[in-house]
Amino acid sequence: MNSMELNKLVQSILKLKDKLLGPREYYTEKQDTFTVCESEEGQNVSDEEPDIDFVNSTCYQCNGYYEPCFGDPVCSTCHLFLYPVGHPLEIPPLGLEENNDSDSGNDEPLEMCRVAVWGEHQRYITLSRYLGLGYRISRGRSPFPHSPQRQNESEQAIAVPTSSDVSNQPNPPRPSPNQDKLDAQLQRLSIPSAVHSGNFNFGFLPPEVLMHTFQFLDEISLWSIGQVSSRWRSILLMYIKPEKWKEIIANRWPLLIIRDMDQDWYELYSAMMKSVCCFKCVQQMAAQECPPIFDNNSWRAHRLRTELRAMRTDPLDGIEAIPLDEECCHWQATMEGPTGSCYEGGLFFLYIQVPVSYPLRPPIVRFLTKIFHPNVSRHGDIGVDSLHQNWSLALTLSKLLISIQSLLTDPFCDVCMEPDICKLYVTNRSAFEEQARKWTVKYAMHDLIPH
Amino acid sequence: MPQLKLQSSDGEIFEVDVEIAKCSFTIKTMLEELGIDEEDDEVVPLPNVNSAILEKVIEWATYHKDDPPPTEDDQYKEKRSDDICEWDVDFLKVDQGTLFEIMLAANYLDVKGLLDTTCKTVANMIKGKSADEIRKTFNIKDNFTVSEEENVPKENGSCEEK
Repeated sequence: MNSMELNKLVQSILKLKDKLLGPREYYTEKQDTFTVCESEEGQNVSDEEPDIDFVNSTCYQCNGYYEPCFGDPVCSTCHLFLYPVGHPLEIPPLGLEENNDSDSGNDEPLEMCRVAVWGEHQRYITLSRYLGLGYRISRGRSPFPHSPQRQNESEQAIAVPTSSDVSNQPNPPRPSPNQDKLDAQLQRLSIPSAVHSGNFNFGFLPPEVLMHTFQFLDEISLWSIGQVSSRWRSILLMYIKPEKWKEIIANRWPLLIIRDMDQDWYELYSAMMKSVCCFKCVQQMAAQECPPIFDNNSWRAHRLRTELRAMRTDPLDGIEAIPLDEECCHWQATMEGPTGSCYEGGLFFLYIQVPVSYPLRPPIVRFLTKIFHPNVSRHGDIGVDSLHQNWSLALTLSKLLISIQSLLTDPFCDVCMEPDICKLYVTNRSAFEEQARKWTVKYAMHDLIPH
Repeated sequence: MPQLKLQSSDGEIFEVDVEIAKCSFTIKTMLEELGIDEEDDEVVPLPNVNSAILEKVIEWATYHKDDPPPTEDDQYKEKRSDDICEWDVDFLKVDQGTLFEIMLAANYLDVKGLLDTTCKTVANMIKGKSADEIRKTFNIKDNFTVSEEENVPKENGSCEEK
């Protein structure tokens, strides 16, 4: 039995297990959450159409150690560790600093190539074995306090608190620096659950009380409310008329091109929210703050103004980018799938965070729209060297976006973010292209999504 | 200070200052419309509130009796929910069942301040969560019917579910 067959057998066993056990919510053993159900050449495993998707049953960073991830690639706790909330802080100098604690790097739950986002409190860099770097660079706190060797023992001992436990804290963290949020999150995870008493059901709160609650919610939370139950949705749509969602969409997705002006706006909003890689990133984008004081004559401001002007006077082919705030800390960009590529016809959204020290430090760029590509992680992080160690002052946002767009046409397989997709790309190009096209239709053609 | 007797659903009688009882718009209106004389020894029955919850509501009203009356403002505009006062935060460190009943009582008795603070608490529990997470938090069943389910494809659906 060759390794391919073995791999397939393992996959089918895992699939069977999934079916039997249902969605996993608690700690499960480490397994690849990337599922390939496709028939090999000549051997038809099933008549089903080949389909590939990430199964985000557990957080792919901590593998469910902290908490359930509820369909996102990363759980809230890991997200706070890796992707800071708040304004883009100073980023520590890039460059590979070897840590000399004889850490083999094997104690990471992830082996993907990723270069995480650095914030004041998170200096956490993991480079892939694909880069040939067998070590981990980690200063400050690592979100993964235990090694896989210990995972097995701790499996029985750890009762991961569920979110309902967490929710019993009536006072969730207030908007505050990332560290406070993270501390609060970790603190909440350690609080045991209170026993629910009595006969009550929040699902059946009287409409007026529910609507009273709605007024304290932001639009993303309101959208979530509409997905909870049909009762909550009908009450929500009474509170916010579908037409109101049109405004909300224009505000949240300023670069979305809407051709069909006669549609269910709530459904369109839903489709947009469901096409994103990470729900938490969109929320973060919505809640990001900017540093209070900026020098308008700084190099950064001057340079960003020039770049923005250049983008307006000389628009890029199939690429658009606009700042979301006055200080140009947060940007949204869209990228049309290059003609002739398997992404053709799709409109991909990206989120750009421009640090205070730009252009000395590179911006953070992430895909918001799900894309099937070897160099884009399931979380949307992009593996382009110019975004990380090869950033240079000569690069601009437009040049970065162009290089990302060209990456869509020509994936770079020596270093990749999703090894499984890369493998498929190398070994079975047609299956890869078919899958990429399917994802493009499913997630990046926003006009079609609601139907 | 004139007193008023409030009777909970389970028959317990609470004696409270009329001024505190008037935190409840329901009771205030009743006193005004029915012209119940404060000197009378009448009992106001509150058949929708049990004694444990009524006690909580009175505790809250007593603490907040000197608050300025709430102002009405614009609907639709997202309001802050992170301005719950410290005392209320401690006061609402209760299990979900109690919180739920306090909300219902605040709604029935029309105590705007208490309804606001409980709704803010619930809003804070909802914020930043996905639908799945909210369902889990409040133990709500996903009751989308089959026809609706088609419009609402399961998030992150995988090939296994097809």
